[in-house]
Amino acid sequence: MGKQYQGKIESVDLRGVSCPVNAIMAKRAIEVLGEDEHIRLLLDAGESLIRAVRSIKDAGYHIVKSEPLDNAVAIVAGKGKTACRP
Amino acid sequence: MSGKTLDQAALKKTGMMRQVQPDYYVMRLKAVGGDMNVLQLARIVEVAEKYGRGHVHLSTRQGIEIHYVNKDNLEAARVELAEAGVEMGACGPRVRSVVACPGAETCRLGVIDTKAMSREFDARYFKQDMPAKFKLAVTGCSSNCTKANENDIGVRGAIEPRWVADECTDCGLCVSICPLEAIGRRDGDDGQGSDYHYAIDEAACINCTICTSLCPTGAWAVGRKGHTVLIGGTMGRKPRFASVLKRIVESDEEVYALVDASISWYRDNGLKKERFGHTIDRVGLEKCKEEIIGKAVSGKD
Ligand code: SF4
Ligand code: SF4
Ligand code: SF4
Repeated sequence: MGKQYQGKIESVDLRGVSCPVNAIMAKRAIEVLGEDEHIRLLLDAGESLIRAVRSIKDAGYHIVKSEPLDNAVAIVAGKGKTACRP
Repeated sequence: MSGKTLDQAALKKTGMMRQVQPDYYVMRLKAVGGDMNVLQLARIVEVAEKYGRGHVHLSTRQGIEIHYVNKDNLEAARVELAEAGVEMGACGPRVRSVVACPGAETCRLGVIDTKAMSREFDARYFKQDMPAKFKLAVTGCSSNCTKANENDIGVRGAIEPRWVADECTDCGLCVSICPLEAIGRRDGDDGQGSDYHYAIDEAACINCTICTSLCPTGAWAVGRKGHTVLIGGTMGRKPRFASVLKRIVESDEEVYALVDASISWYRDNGLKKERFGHTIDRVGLEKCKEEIIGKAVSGKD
C-alpha cells in the first residue's frame, strides 16, 4: 500500500446504490477518464463490491488501491495498468 | 385391486408414491443433475396428458413428478416413459436422484465438471438401499447453488489460492473482497523475497474463486484445484449442516473412494431410519472421519 497518485482524484459515492446499478455506474465513471487519470469509488462491502470489481475487471480496467471503510470499501481505479504511478 | 393390496414399499422403490386421493399415485421421474432432453420432456407431456391430469410438478430436487395417475395405469405409463429414456426416480430408504448445478461446462464460476460426476454417482449408487433416505449433490463452486451442505454427501468445486509476490502491487483489494475476511497482510518475507506478504487463514477460507478471479494483477493464482467432500447434511425435521470430510481432493478417483467409504461406513453404523448426519453425531465426527478416510485409503469396504 502507500502508493501516491498524480493529480486530484475525484470520488464517486456508490454506497447504498444497489446491484447491478452500482457496477454499471462504476464502469461508466472509469470510462470517461483520461488514460492516466484515476477515480476513487466508494462501494458497499460484500456482494456489491464483488459485483462492481468483477465488471470493472471484465471491462479491462484496473484497480490500483483499496482501503476498508465502515461497512464499505474505497477503491482507486483507472483505465490501464500504466496509469498507476507509484 | 385397492391401494392397500399393492406393495407400497416396492412401488416406492420405483418412484411411485400413494396420494391422499384413493387409487391415485405420484410418479417421480429421474433427472440426473436436473438434465433432460426435449424428446424426454415431450414424452412426459404426453404421459401426463394421457394418464395424469395434464400437469406436472417440479420437485425441489430437480425432478419432475406426474401426479394423479390411477393405480391401473402406473405400469403402462412407466413403459411409455421408459421407451423415451425417462427413468423412474426413487423414494424410501435408498439413494435418491443425484442433483447438480451446471458446473464448469457452462457456468463462469464453475471449478469442476458437475455433470460428469453426477452421472458417475448415479451409475454407482442410485436406488441402493440405505438405513434411511440418502441424497447426493454436486455443486461447481463455493457459491453452492445446489446446496451441497444440505445433502448426505455433497461435493463442492474448490480451489486453493497461492500468493505470487512478483505479481502483487500491494493494492489491498483482496483483504476487502474476501467474503470470509480470510486474507491478511503481514510484514516480512514469506520466502519469495518481498518485505511483506499476503496470507490466508486456512480455517476460515471456503476455497472460492473470488480472490483468484478478482485480484487485478493475477497475484492470487490457483494453487490446487479439486473437490471439497462434505458429509452428513440434511434438512427435514432435524436439520444438520454437512461437515467437511476432506478439502481440495484433487482426483475424481479419490472422491469416489471417499464416497464409497462414507456409504459403507453409514451402512455399518447407521440405525434404521437414522440419517447419515445423525449417525455421525451419535458416533462422533472425528471418529467417523478417521474411519472413513482410513477405509478410503485402504480401499476396504
Ligand atoms: S455453484 Fe458455482 S458453478 Fe454451480 S451454478 Fe452456482 S455459481 Fe455456477
Ligand atoms: S488484490 Fe492482488 S495485487 Fe492487490 S494486494 Fe491482493 S494479491 Fe496483491
Ligand atoms: S478462496 Fe475465497 S475465502 Fe479463500 S481467501 Fe480467497 S476469497 Fe477468501
